[in-house]
Amino acid sequence: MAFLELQELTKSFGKTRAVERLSLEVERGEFLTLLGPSGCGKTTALRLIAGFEQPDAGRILLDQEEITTRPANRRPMGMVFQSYALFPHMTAEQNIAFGLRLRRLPSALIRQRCEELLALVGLAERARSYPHQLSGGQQQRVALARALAVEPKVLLLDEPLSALDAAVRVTLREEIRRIQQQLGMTVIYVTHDQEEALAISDRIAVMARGRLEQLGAPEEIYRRPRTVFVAGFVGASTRLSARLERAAEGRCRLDGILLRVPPQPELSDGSAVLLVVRPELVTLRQLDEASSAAADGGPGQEQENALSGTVELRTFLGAVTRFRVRAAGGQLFTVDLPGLQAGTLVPGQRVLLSFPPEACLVLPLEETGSEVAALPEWPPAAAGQPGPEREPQPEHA
Amino acid sequence: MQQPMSHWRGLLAARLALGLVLLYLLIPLAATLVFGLSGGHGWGDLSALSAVFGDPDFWLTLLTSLGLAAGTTLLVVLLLTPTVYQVRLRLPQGRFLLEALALLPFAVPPIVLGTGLLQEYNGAAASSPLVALLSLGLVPLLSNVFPLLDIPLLLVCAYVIVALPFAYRAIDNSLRAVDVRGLTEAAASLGAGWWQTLLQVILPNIWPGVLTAALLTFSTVMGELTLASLFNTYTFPIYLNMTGQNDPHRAALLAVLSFLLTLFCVLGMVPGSRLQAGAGRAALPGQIEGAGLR
Repeated sequence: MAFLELQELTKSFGKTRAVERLSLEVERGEFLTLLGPSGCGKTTALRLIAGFEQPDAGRILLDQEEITTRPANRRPMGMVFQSYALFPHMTAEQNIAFGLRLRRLPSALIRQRCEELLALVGLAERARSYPHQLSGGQQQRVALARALAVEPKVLLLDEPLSALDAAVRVTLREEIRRIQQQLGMTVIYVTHDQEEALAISDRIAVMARGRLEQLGAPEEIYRRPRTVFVAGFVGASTRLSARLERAAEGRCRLDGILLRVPPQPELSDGSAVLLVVRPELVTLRQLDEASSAAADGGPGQEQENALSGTVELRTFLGAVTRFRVRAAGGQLFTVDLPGLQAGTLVPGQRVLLSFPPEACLVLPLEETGSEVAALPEWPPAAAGQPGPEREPQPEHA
Repeated sequence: MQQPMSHWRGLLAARLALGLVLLYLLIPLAATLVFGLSGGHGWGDLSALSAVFGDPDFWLTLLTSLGLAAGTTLLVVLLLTPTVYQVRLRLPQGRFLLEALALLPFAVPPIVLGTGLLQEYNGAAASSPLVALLSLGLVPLLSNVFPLLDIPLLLVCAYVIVALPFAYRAIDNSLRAVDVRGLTEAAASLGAGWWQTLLQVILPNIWPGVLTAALLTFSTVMGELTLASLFNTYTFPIYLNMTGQNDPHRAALLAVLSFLLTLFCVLGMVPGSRLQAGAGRAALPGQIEGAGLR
């Protein structure tokens, strides 16, 4: 029996279905992240768990006890908000003590607990500061300590790092993870930042349009996305629509080019599929004039899953350099090469790109192709990173 | 050299303007005081002042008005603060109705309001089935079971309506500056109930607005004449008016006393509101002040 159970939770606002038949099980001491784009229903799901919204249907069980209709102030949960929501008229210490005072604990115990928590979040010297005297990161630490003070059974965090700058975000997320592991706390964390989710979670629940798309460990979500949406939303990738020629042998055709993919015995020959290739699994080799001409004569025929193409964009990302390469057939590939391998490859250069069959993830596609059309753009506009902005759209005979 | 000169000129002009404004405000007050103290046997004669304090009507009306003002202020604050908070939190679509209701007293002159209330509760209208229906039975209940006209409660209720526009604005503006939903949810997640949240979290952050509402209500009631006359209640403004007709010197002294009374109320409330406002600055995401560590 799971520690926290969501059973078929449904919530609508007017005609908008925010959460649709969401079922989830969270184990004691687990760090679960609800990940998805804006409007996918992740925050609504968290608010249903917190008791700030009432579900239209479904049940919430905590420690085998139903809490679906229990008011928020009687649920054993702590919450950290994106806007911090610290009480402006109270000092950091008073904010932390608020929940403890409501429980009428002895003053000495409250003081001791506040000191412990301030030390835990590294703010022992700012106990008497008011929220407006603290930086955003410090305010969020106080908010975290305040939520932890009442020793909740489940800690809920609603995009707690979104309002902070990048460097503070990374530091604070590591601290949240450290504290969660130190206290063995059950945490449900909401974010739209996939990197954040992959970095700190035990499991990730990817949501889209109010539904749960996939639930799994970060590695599983990244390496084996089960839906087209998850493949598009989590991590950078090259996505190619192709058609299986011999499913059992793992042969498929992409715009006239034969590609090898892992065998797909459960799919039938002729099925429309989406091939997902992570950028770090593709290799690039510079083509000289002679080999370039040979490659033009029959792209990728000598080598398995090899296509000739032209570098369109080179972006230095620190640990890796990202290339956007247009293959001879018009497909756009995103390729990440470690610093040294990136070498002298520059835009306009002819290259041979290749990837092993096992690098291809094969996802069955609807015949309409609407799944691909609905894929989120990668990278998100705000991230400002390069990537296959215009992925090849599926073509169906 | 020119820059300091223009700076000094600007400073001088500002001080001059401030001085003129103060003179404009203080000269009539000083003149009234001088006029009040010059009654009877010439300047400096305090007999008018002692006559004021010796008059039992002065104390009676002053206490009546203070009681009415305190009652009205209490009722306004107790009625409006939880209502505006609740509407902002749970019924945002109801704000339009509340704003319209708060503006309505501006459209109804006090004489119309007073006459209407007296007609409504004087028994004749109270027994009308239509009035009973429209008021959901409240008017017959209040006028027959609780004889409202015998006690100043009806006048207090009328004053609440008169003070509503000012008080509502002050409280609503304060709530607008606060993240009501965020703070309420944060308090609830820590175990606070509705009243605990209102009293311990919301109220300290909207204290300046509530104090302003209280002050405006208090001073409105202390100076209100029309409704008190219609309700046949002998209040301080009526005493002031009647005294002014017989003894202008004494009336002048009473006017100064009335002003000082209101001033003391203001001075009593302003430090409290400034203290709260100083401690309770809104903590918005990204707002950094005096931050050393991150």
